[in-house]
Amino acid sequence: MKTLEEARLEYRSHSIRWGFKWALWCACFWGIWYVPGSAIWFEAPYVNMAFETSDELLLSAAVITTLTAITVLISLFVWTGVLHKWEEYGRTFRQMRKISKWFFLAAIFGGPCAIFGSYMAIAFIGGVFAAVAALLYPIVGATIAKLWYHERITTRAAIGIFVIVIGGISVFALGIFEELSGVSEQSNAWLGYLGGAMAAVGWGIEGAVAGRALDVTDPDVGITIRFTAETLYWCLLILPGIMIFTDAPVLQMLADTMNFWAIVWLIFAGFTFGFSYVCWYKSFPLIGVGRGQAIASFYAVFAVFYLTIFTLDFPQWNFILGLVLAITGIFIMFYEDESKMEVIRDIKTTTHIDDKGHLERA
Amino acid sequence: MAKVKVHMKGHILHQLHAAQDGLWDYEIANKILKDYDVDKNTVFWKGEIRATLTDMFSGALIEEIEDKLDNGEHFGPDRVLVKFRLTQFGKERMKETGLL
Repeated sequence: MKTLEEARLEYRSHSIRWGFKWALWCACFWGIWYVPGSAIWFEAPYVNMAFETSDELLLSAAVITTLTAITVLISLFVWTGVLHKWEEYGRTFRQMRKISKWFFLAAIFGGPCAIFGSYMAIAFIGGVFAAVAALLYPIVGATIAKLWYHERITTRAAIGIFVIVIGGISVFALGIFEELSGVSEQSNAWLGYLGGAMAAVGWGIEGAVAGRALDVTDPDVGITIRFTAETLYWCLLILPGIMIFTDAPVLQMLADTMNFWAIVWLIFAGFTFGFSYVCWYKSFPLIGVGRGQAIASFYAVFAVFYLTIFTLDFPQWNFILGLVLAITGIFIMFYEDESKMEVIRDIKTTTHIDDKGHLERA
Repeated sequence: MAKVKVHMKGHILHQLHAAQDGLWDYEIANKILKDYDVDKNTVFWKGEIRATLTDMFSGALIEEIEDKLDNGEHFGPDRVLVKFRLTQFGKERMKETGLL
Protein backbone atom coordinates (compact mmCIF):
# COMPACT_ATOMS: atom_id res chain seq x y z
CA MET A 1 0.00 0.00 0.00
CA LYS A 2 1.39 3.36 -1.02
CA THR A 3 1.15 6.52 1.00
CA LEU A 4 -0.61 9.52 -0.47
CA GLU A 5 2.72 11.39 -0.68
CA GLU A 6 4.33 8.61 -2.72
CA ALA A 7 1.35 8.37 -5.02
CA ARG A 8 1.37 12.15 -5.59
CA LEU A 9 5.06 12.21 -6.51
CA GLU A 10 4.60 9.23 -8.80
CA TYR A 11 1.66 10.85 -10.56
CA ARG A 12 3.64 14.03 -11.14
CA SER A 13 6.75 12.23 -12.50
CA HIS A 14 4.49 10.14 -14.66
CA SER A 15 2.96 13.11 -16.43
CA ILE A 16 6.28 14.91 -16.90
CA ARG A 17 7.86 11.73 -18.26
CA TRP A 18 5.02 11.39 -20.75
CA GLY A 19 5.72 14.93 -21.96
CA PHE A 20 9.36 13.98 -22.59
CA LYS A 21 8.35 10.70 -24.24
CA TRP A 22 5.97 12.40 -26.66
CA ALA A 23 8.67 14.91 -27.62
CA LEU A 24 11.21 12.12 -28.24
CA TRP A 25 8.73 10.17 -30.38
CA CYS A 26 8.17 13.36 -32.34
CA ALA A 27 11.92 13.59 -32.97
CA CYS A 28 12.02 9.93 -34.02
CA PHE A 29 9.23 10.26 -36.62
CA TRP A 30 10.51 13.63 -37.84
CA GLY A 31 13.96 12.09 -38.38
CA ILE A 32 12.54 9.20 -40.43
CA TRP A 33 10.62 11.73 -42.54
CA TYR A 34 13.92 12.86 -44.11
CA VAL A 35 14.16 9.48 -45.87
CA PRO A 36 10.92 9.76 -47.92
CA GLY A 37 11.31 13.59 -47.95
CA SER A 38 14.61 13.26 -49.81
CA ALA A 39 13.69 10.15 -51.82
CA ILE A 40 10.76 11.84 -53.55
CA TRP A 41 13.22 14.14 -55.38
CA PHE A 42 14.77 11.03 -56.98
CA GLU A 43 11.48 9.87 -58.52
CA ALA A 44 9.71 10.93 -61.70
CA PRO A 45 8.94 13.65 -62.59
CA TYR A 46 11.40 15.47 -60.31
CA VAL A 47 14.45 13.36 -61.14
CA ASN A 48 14.12 14.20 -64.84
CA MET A 49 13.92 17.95 -64.35
CA ALA A 50 16.84 20.14 -65.29
CA PHE A 51 15.92 22.74 -62.64
CA GLU A 52 17.55 25.50 -64.64
CA THR A 53 15.18 28.14 -63.36
CA SER A 54 14.09 28.94 -59.82
CA ASP A 55 10.45 28.86 -60.98
CA GLU A 56 10.64 25.16 -61.71
CA LEU A 57 12.14 24.38 -58.30
CA LEU A 58 9.62 26.54 -56.45
CA LEU A 59 6.75 24.88 -58.32
CA SER A 60 8.09 21.39 -57.49
CA ALA A 61 8.40 22.37 -53.83
CA ALA A 62 4.83 23.68 -53.83
CA VAL A 63 3.44 20.52 -55.45
CA ILE A 64 5.36 18.22 -53.08
CA THR A 65 4.27 20.22 -50.02
CA THR A 66 0.63 20.06 -51.18
CA LEU A 67 0.71 16.31 -51.74
CA THR A 68 2.48 15.77 -48.39
CA ALA A 69 -0.21 17.85 -46.64
CA ILE A 70 -2.85 15.57 -48.18
CA THR A 71 -1.13 12.33 -47.10
CA VAL A 72 -0.52 13.74 -43.60
CA LEU A 73 -4.22 14.57 -43.37
CA ILE A 74 -5.18 11.04 -44.46
CA SER A 75 -2.96 9.58 -41.69
CA LEU A 76 -4.50 11.94 -39.14
CA PHE A 77 -8.03 11.06 -40.24
CA VAL A 78 -7.22 7.39 -39.65
CA TRP A 79 -5.81 8.33 -36.21
CA THR A 80 -8.95 10.34 -35.36
CA GLY A 81 -11.09 7.34 -36.35
CA VAL A 82 -9.04 4.89 -34.29
CA LEU A 83 -9.44 7.11 -31.21
CA HIS A 84 -13.19 7.55 -31.83
CA LYS A 85 -12.73 11.30 -31.89
CA TRP A 86 -14.73 12.21 -35.00
CA GLU A 87 -17.54 13.77 -32.99
CA GLU A 88 -15.02 15.77 -31.00
CA TYR A 89 -13.45 16.92 -34.28
CA GLY A 90 -16.85 18.19 -35.42
CA ARG A 91 -17.57 19.91 -32.11
CA THR A 92 -14.19 21.66 -32.10
CA PHE A 93 -14.07 22.54 -35.80
CA ARG A 94 -17.44 24.32 -35.63
CA GLN A 95 -16.07 26.91 -33.21
CA MET A 96 -14.25 28.70 -35.97
CA ARG A 97 -14.18 32.22 -34.56
CA LYS A 98 -13.02 31.24 -31.10
CA ILE A 99 -10.87 28.13 -31.47
CA SER A 100 -10.32 26.79 -34.98
CA LYS A 101 -8.99 30.15 -36.12
CA TRP A 102 -5.88 29.58 -33.99
CA PHE A 103 -5.22 26.26 -35.73
CA PHE A 104 -5.85 27.89 -39.12
CA LEU A 105 -3.29 30.54 -38.16
CA ALA A 106 -0.82 27.88 -36.94
CA ALA A 107 -1.25 26.13 -40.31
CA ILE A 108 -0.14 29.25 -42.21
CA PHE A 109 3.08 29.45 -40.19
CA GLY A 110 3.74 25.72 -40.15
CA GLY A 111 2.79 24.92 -43.75
CA PRO A 112 3.27 27.53 -46.48
CA CYS A 113 5.88 29.26 -44.30
CA ALA A 114 7.93 26.51 -42.54
CA ILE A 115 7.47 23.32 -44.59
CA PHE A 116 7.58 25.14 -47.93
CA GLY A 117 10.51 27.24 -46.63
CA SER A 118 12.38 24.02 -45.82
CA TYR A 119 11.88 22.72 -49.36
CA MET A 120 13.12 26.10 -50.70
CA ALA A 121 16.22 25.82 -48.53
CA ILE A 122 16.78 22.23 -49.74
CA ALA A 123 16.33 23.26 -53.36
CA PHE A 124 18.44 26.43 -53.47
CA ILE A 125 21.21 25.61 -50.99
CA GLY A 126 20.92 22.00 -49.77
CA GLY A 127 19.39 19.58 -47.31
CA VAL A 128 22.07 20.17 -44.72
CA PHE A 129 21.52 23.91 -44.63
CA ALA A 130 17.74 23.35 -44.44
CA ALA A 131 18.11 21.06 -41.43
CA VAL A 132 20.44 23.45 -39.59
CA ALA A 133 18.23 26.46 -40.22
CA ALA A 134 15.19 24.61 -38.88
CA LEU A 135 17.13 23.73 -35.71
CA LEU A 136 16.93 27.32 -34.58
CA TYR A 137 13.14 27.14 -34.19
CA PRO A 138 13.04 26.20 -30.47
CA ILE A 139 14.76 29.49 -29.67
CA VAL A 140 12.05 31.37 -31.55
CA GLY A 141 9.31 29.19 -30.02
CA ALA A 142 10.55 29.46 -26.42
CA THR A 143 10.99 33.23 -26.68
CA ILE A 144 7.47 33.77 -28.00
CA ALA A 145 5.93 31.36 -25.48
CA LYS A 146 7.63 33.25 -22.65
CA LEU A 147 6.66 36.71 -23.86
CA TRP A 148 3.16 35.85 -25.02
CA TYR A 149 1.81 33.55 -22.36
CA HIS A 150 4.31 33.61 -19.57
CA GLU A 151 5.69 30.14 -20.07
CA ARG A 152 8.18 29.42 -17.31
CA ILE A 153 11.56 29.00 -19.04
CA THR A 154 13.93 28.17 -16.17
CA THR A 155 17.68 28.79 -16.46
CA ARG A 156 18.11 25.04 -16.72
CA ALA A 157 15.62 24.76 -19.57
CA ALA A 158 17.30 27.67 -21.39
CA ILE A 159 20.74 26.03 -21.05
CA GLY A 160 19.26 22.71 -22.23
CA ILE A 161 17.67 24.32 -25.29
CA PHE A 162 20.96 26.03 -26.13
CA VAL A 163 23.06 22.83 -25.76
CA ILE A 164 20.64 20.81 -27.93
CA VAL A 165 20.69 23.47 -30.66
CA ILE A 166 24.52 23.56 -30.65
CA GLY A 167 24.49 19.74 -30.79
CA GLY A 168 22.18 19.79 -33.78
CA ILE A 169 24.34 22.33 -35.56
CA SER A 170 27.48 20.24 -35.02
CA VAL A 171 25.72 17.23 -36.57
CA PHE A 172 25.64 19.19 -39.79
CA ALA A 173 28.82 21.25 -39.23
CA LEU A 174 31.01 19.83 -42.00
CA GLY A 175 28.35 19.76 -44.67
CA ILE A 176 27.23 23.31 -44.09
CA PHE A 177 30.61 24.81 -45.10
CA GLU A 178 30.69 22.75 -48.28
CA GLU A 179 27.18 23.76 -49.20
CA LEU A 180 27.66 27.42 -48.41
CA SER A 181 30.91 27.68 -50.37
CA GLY A 182 29.26 25.76 -53.21
CA VAL A 183 26.44 28.28 -53.58
CA SER A 184 28.34 31.51 -52.97
CA GLU A 185 28.51 32.13 -56.75
CA GLN A 186 24.81 31.53 -57.37
CA SER A 187 22.59 34.54 -57.73
CA ASN A 188 19.45 32.84 -56.42
CA ALA A 189 21.01 31.52 -53.20
CA TRP A 190 19.11 34.24 -51.29
CA LEU A 191 15.91 32.28 -51.92
CA GLY A 192 17.48 29.41 -49.95
CA TYR A 193 18.44 31.68 -47.03
CA LEU A 194 14.94 33.13 -47.07
CA GLY A 195 13.52 29.60 -46.97
CA GLY A 196 15.74 28.68 -44.01
CA ALA A 197 14.57 31.74 -42.07
CA MET A 198 10.94 30.92 -42.96
CA ALA A 199 11.39 27.42 -41.50
CA ALA A 200 12.89 28.58 -38.18
CA VAL A 201 10.44 31.43 -37.65
CA GLY A 202 7.44 29.50 -39.02
CA TRP A 203 7.77 26.44 -36.78
CA GLY A 204 8.62 28.60 -33.76
CA ILE A 205 5.47 30.70 -34.23
CA GLU A 206 3.34 27.66 -35.02
CA GLY A 207 4.22 26.09 -31.66
CA ALA A 208 3.36 29.24 -29.75
CA VAL A 209 0.08 29.85 -31.61
CA ALA A 210 -1.04 26.23 -31.34
CA GLY A 211 -0.06 26.13 -27.65
CA ARG A 212 -2.68 28.77 -27.00
CA ALA A 213 -5.54 26.87 -28.64
CA LEU A 214 -4.40 23.58 -27.09
CA ASP A 215 -5.23 25.03 -23.65
CA VAL A 216 -8.89 24.42 -24.34
CA THR A 217 -8.86 21.64 -26.96
CA ASP A 218 -7.86 18.04 -27.45
CA PRO A 219 -4.39 17.70 -29.05
CA ASP A 220 -5.33 14.82 -31.40
CA VAL A 221 -8.25 16.84 -32.70
CA GLY A 222 -6.25 20.08 -32.76
CA ILE A 223 -3.53 18.72 -35.01
CA THR A 224 -6.10 17.24 -37.39
CA ILE A 225 -7.81 20.63 -37.72
CA ARG A 226 -4.43 22.27 -38.29
CA PHE A 227 -3.70 19.92 -41.23
CA THR A 228 -7.24 20.25 -42.57
CA ALA A 229 -6.49 23.98 -42.75
CA GLU A 230 -3.14 23.47 -44.47
CA THR A 231 -4.63 21.12 -47.07
CA LEU A 232 -7.37 23.65 -47.81
CA TYR A 233 -4.82 26.46 -48.24
CA TRP A 234 -2.76 24.49 -50.76
CA CYS A 235 -5.61 22.91 -52.72
CA LEU A 236 -8.06 25.81 -52.79
CA LEU A 237 -5.83 28.89 -52.66
CA ILE A 238 -2.17 28.44 -53.46
CA LEU A 239 -2.13 25.92 -56.34
CA PRO A 240 -5.19 27.49 -58.05
CA GLY A 241 -3.52 30.89 -57.52
CA ILE A 242 -0.36 29.69 -59.26
CA MET A 243 -2.47 28.30 -62.13
CA ILE A 244 -4.41 31.54 -62.57
CA PHE A 245 -1.55 34.01 -62.32
CA THR A 246 1.27 32.11 -64.04
CA ASP A 247 1.49 29.64 -66.90
CA ALA A 248 3.28 27.05 -64.74
CA PRO A 249 2.32 23.42 -65.59
CA VAL A 250 0.74 22.63 -62.21
CA LEU A 251 -1.73 19.98 -63.40
CA GLN A 252 0.87 18.33 -65.60
CA MET A 253 3.26 18.03 -62.66
CA LEU A 254 0.52 16.64 -60.40
CA ALA A 255 -0.40 14.06 -63.05
CA ASP A 256 3.25 13.08 -63.55
CA THR A 257 3.66 12.53 -59.80
CA MET A 258 0.96 9.85 -59.87
CA ASN A 259 3.41 6.96 -60.32
CA PHE A 260 3.92 4.03 -57.97
CA TRP A 261 7.14 5.01 -56.19
CA ALA A 262 6.32 8.70 -55.88
CA ILE A 263 3.03 7.76 -54.21
CA VAL A 264 4.73 5.25 -51.92
CA TRP A 265 7.21 7.91 -50.72
CA LEU A 266 4.44 10.48 -50.29
CA ILE A 267 2.36 8.10 -48.16
CA PHE A 268 5.42 7.22 -46.09
CA ALA A 269 6.21 10.93 -45.72
CA GLY A 270 2.62 11.65 -44.69
CA PHE A 271 2.60 8.92 -42.08
CA THR A 272 5.92 9.88 -40.45
CA PHE A 273 5.30 13.62 -40.57
CA GLY A 274 1.72 13.20 -39.36
CA PHE A 275 2.68 11.22 -36.29
CA SER A 276 5.62 13.45 -35.48
CA TYR A 277 3.10 16.31 -35.39
CA VAL A 278 0.69 14.32 -33.17
CA CYS A 279 3.50 13.77 -30.65
CA TRP A 280 4.66 17.39 -30.88
CA TYR A 281 1.19 18.71 -30.03
CA LYS A 282 0.75 16.18 -27.21
CA SER A 283 4.01 17.16 -25.50
CA PHE A 284 3.35 20.94 -25.40
CA PRO A 285 0.66 20.94 -22.68
CA LEU A 286 2.73 18.66 -20.43
CA ILE A 287 6.24 20.11 -20.54
CA GLY A 288 5.77 23.45 -22.33
CA VAL A 289 6.41 24.68 -25.85
CA GLY A 290 10.06 25.56 -25.15
CA ARG A 291 11.09 22.15 -23.80
CA GLY A 292 8.88 20.21 -26.23
CA GLN A 293 10.37 21.95 -29.24
CA ALA A 294 13.96 21.62 -28.03
CA ILE A 295 13.67 17.86 -27.46
CA ALA A 296 11.98 17.49 -30.82
CA SER A 297 15.16 18.98 -32.37
CA PHE A 298 16.71 15.66 -31.55
CA TYR A 299 15.33 14.83 -35.03
CA ALA A 300 18.72 15.93 -36.38
CA VAL A 301 20.33 12.88 -34.81
CA PHE A 302 17.56 10.51 -35.96
CA ALA A 303 17.66 11.96 -39.47
CA VAL A 304 21.38 11.28 -39.87
CA PHE A 305 20.92 7.85 -38.33
CA TYR A 306 18.14 6.74 -40.68
CA LEU A 307 19.73 8.30 -43.74
CA THR A 308 22.86 6.30 -42.88
CA ILE A 309 20.88 3.05 -42.73
CA PHE A 310 19.27 3.74 -46.08
CA THR A 311 22.29 5.09 -47.94
CA LEU A 312 25.11 3.30 -46.05
CA ASP A 313 26.92 6.62 -46.15
CA PHE A 314 28.51 6.79 -42.69
CA PRO A 315 28.62 10.05 -40.75
CA GLN A 316 31.85 11.62 -39.53
CA TRP A 317 33.18 12.51 -36.06
CA ASN A 318 31.08 15.63 -35.82
CA PHE A 319 27.97 13.44 -35.71
CA ILE A 320 29.17 11.81 -32.48
CA LEU A 321 29.91 15.23 -30.98
CA GLY A 322 26.44 16.43 -31.95
CA LEU A 323 24.84 13.31 -30.52
CA VAL A 324 26.64 13.72 -27.18
CA LEU A 325 25.65 17.39 -26.95
CA ALA A 326 22.00 16.71 -27.82
CA ILE A 327 21.71 13.93 -25.24
CA THR A 328 23.42 16.13 -22.63
CA GLY A 329 20.92 18.90 -23.35
CA ILE A 330 17.99 16.55 -22.82
CA PHE A 331 19.40 15.31 -19.51
CA ILE A 332 19.98 18.89 -18.35
CA MET A 333 16.27 19.50 -18.83
CA PHE A 334 15.07 16.11 -17.64
CA TYR A 335 16.80 16.33 -14.27
CA GLU A 336 15.20 19.63 -13.42
CA ASP A 337 13.52 19.72 -10.02
CA GLU A 338 10.08 18.33 -10.87
CA SER A 339 8.27 20.76 -8.61
CA LYS A 340 9.38 23.49 -11.04
CA MET A 341 7.98 21.59 -14.01
CA GLU A 342 4.58 20.53 -12.74
CA VAL A 343 3.06 23.84 -13.75
CA ILE A 344 4.73 25.19 -16.85
CA ARG A 345 3.58 28.78 -16.53
CA ASP A 346 4.39 31.69 -14.27
CA ILE A 347 0.89 31.85 -12.88
CA LYS A 348 0.22 32.11 -9.16
CA THR A 349 -1.64 29.09 -7.91
CA THR A 350 -2.76 28.63 -4.32
CA THR A 351 -1.44 25.11 -3.84
CA HIS A 352 1.78 23.33 -4.63
CA ILE A 353 3.29 19.88 -4.08
CA ASP A 354 6.71 20.00 -2.41
CA ASP A 355 9.72 17.69 -2.91
CA LYS A 356 8.41 15.18 -0.39
CA GLY A 357 4.96 14.98 -1.94
CA HIS A 358 3.10 17.15 0.60
CA LEU A 359 0.31 19.37 -0.64
CA GLU A 360 1.14 22.91 0.48
CA ARG A 361 -1.13 25.93 0.53
CA ALA A 362 0.13 29.43 -0.17
CA MET B 1 -25.54 10.86 -30.50
CA ALA B 2 -23.94 13.02 -27.92
CA LYS B 3 -26.19 15.55 -26.31
CA VAL B 4 -23.54 18.15 -25.63
CA LYS B 5 -22.58 20.57 -28.41
CA VAL B 6 -19.44 22.04 -26.89
CA HIS B 7 -16.14 20.14 -27.20
CA MET B 8 -14.98 17.93 -24.32
CA LYS B 9 -12.29 20.13 -22.78
CA GLY B 10 -14.69 23.08 -22.96
CA HIS B 11 -17.39 21.08 -21.23
CA ILE B 12 -14.97 20.08 -18.45
CA LEU B 13 -14.04 23.75 -17.96
CA HIS B 14 -17.75 24.66 -17.81
CA GLN B 15 -18.30 22.08 -15.05
CA LEU B 16 -15.39 23.47 -13.06
CA HIS B 17 -16.59 27.02 -13.60
CA ALA B 18 -20.00 26.12 -12.22
CA ALA B 19 -18.55 24.41 -9.14
CA GLN B 20 -17.05 27.13 -6.95
CA ASP B 21 -15.66 24.61 -4.46
CA GLY B 22 -14.04 22.43 -7.11
CA LEU B 23 -14.78 18.93 -8.36
CA TRP B 24 -13.14 15.55 -7.90
CA ASP B 25 -11.61 14.09 -11.07
CA TYR B 26 -13.84 11.01 -10.88
CA GLU B 27 -16.94 13.22 -10.57
CA ILE B 28 -15.84 15.02 -13.73
CA ALA B 29 -15.10 11.74 -15.51
CA ASN B 30 -18.49 10.23 -14.62
CA LYS B 31 -20.32 13.33 -15.77
CA ILE B 32 -18.42 13.49 -19.07
CA LEU B 33 -18.93 9.79 -19.80
CA LYS B 34 -22.67 10.27 -19.28
CA ASP B 35 -23.00 13.57 -21.16
CA TYR B 36 -21.13 12.37 -24.25
CA ASP B 37 -22.63 8.91 -24.14
CA VAL B 38 -19.27 7.15 -24.44
CA ASP B 39 -19.84 4.58 -21.67
CA LYS B 40 -18.98 1.69 -23.98
CA ASN B 41 -15.31 2.56 -23.94
CA THR B 42 -15.01 3.45 -20.29
CA VAL B 43 -11.38 2.57 -19.56
CA PHE B 44 -10.10 4.46 -22.60
CA TRP B 45 -12.22 7.56 -22.00
CA LYS B 46 -11.52 7.66 -18.26
CA GLY B 47 -7.81 7.63 -19.11
CA GLU B 48 -8.32 10.37 -21.71
CA ILE B 49 -10.23 12.55 -19.24
CA ARG B 50 -7.58 12.07 -16.57
CA ALA B 51 -4.85 12.98 -19.11
CA THR B 52 -6.84 16.04 -20.15
CA LEU B 53 -7.11 17.21 -16.53
CA THR B 54 -3.36 16.70 -16.10
CA ASP B 55 -2.54 18.85 -19.08
CA MET B 56 -4.90 21.62 -17.96
CA PHE B 57 -3.22 21.47 -14.56
CA SER B 58 0.26 21.77 -16.14
CA GLY B 59 -1.01 24.76 -18.08
CA ALA B 60 -2.24 26.41 -14.84
CA LEU B 61 -5.86 26.56 -16.03
CA ILE B 62 -6.92 24.52 -13.02
CA GLU B 63 -5.35 23.92 -9.63
CA GLU B 64 -5.33 21.09 -7.16
CA ILE B 65 -7.14 21.79 -3.89
CA GLU B 66 -7.40 18.39 -2.27
CA ASP B 67 -6.42 14.82 -2.95
CA LYS B 68 -6.82 11.28 -1.62
CA LEU B 69 -5.87 7.72 -2.52
CA ASP B 70 -8.08 5.67 -4.81
CA ASN B 71 -9.19 2.43 -3.14
CA GLY B 72 -9.68 0.92 -6.58
CA GLU B 73 -13.17 2.28 -7.04
CA HIS B 74 -12.48 4.89 -9.73
CA PHE B 75 -9.22 4.79 -11.73
CA GLY B 76 -7.45 1.87 -10.04
CA PRO B 77 -5.88 1.09 -6.65
CA ASP B 78 -3.14 3.43 -5.33
CA ARG B 79 -3.87 6.15 -7.88
CA VAL B 80 -4.20 9.74 -6.65
CA LEU B 81 -7.68 11.19 -6.85
CA VAL B 82 -7.54 14.96 -7.20
CA LYS B 83 -10.05 17.68 -6.52
CA PHE B 84 -9.55 20.52 -8.99
CA ARG B 85 -10.68 24.14 -9.06
CA LEU B 86 -10.60 26.63 -11.93
CA THR B 87 -7.87 29.31 -11.60
CA GLN B 88 -8.23 32.99 -12.44
CA PHE B 89 -6.03 32.33 -15.48
CA GLY B 90 -8.29 29.45 -16.52
CA LYS B 91 -11.26 31.79 -16.34
CA GLU B 92 -9.48 34.37 -18.50
CA ARG B 93 -8.55 31.73 -21.07
CA MET B 94 -12.20 30.55 -21.13
CA LYS B 95 -13.31 34.11 -21.91
CA GLU B 96 -10.71 34.42 -24.67
CA THR B 97 -11.85 31.22 -26.34
CA GLY B 98 -15.56 31.93 -26.17
CA LEU B 99 -16.41 29.48 -23.40
CA LEU B 100 -17.71 32.25 -21.12
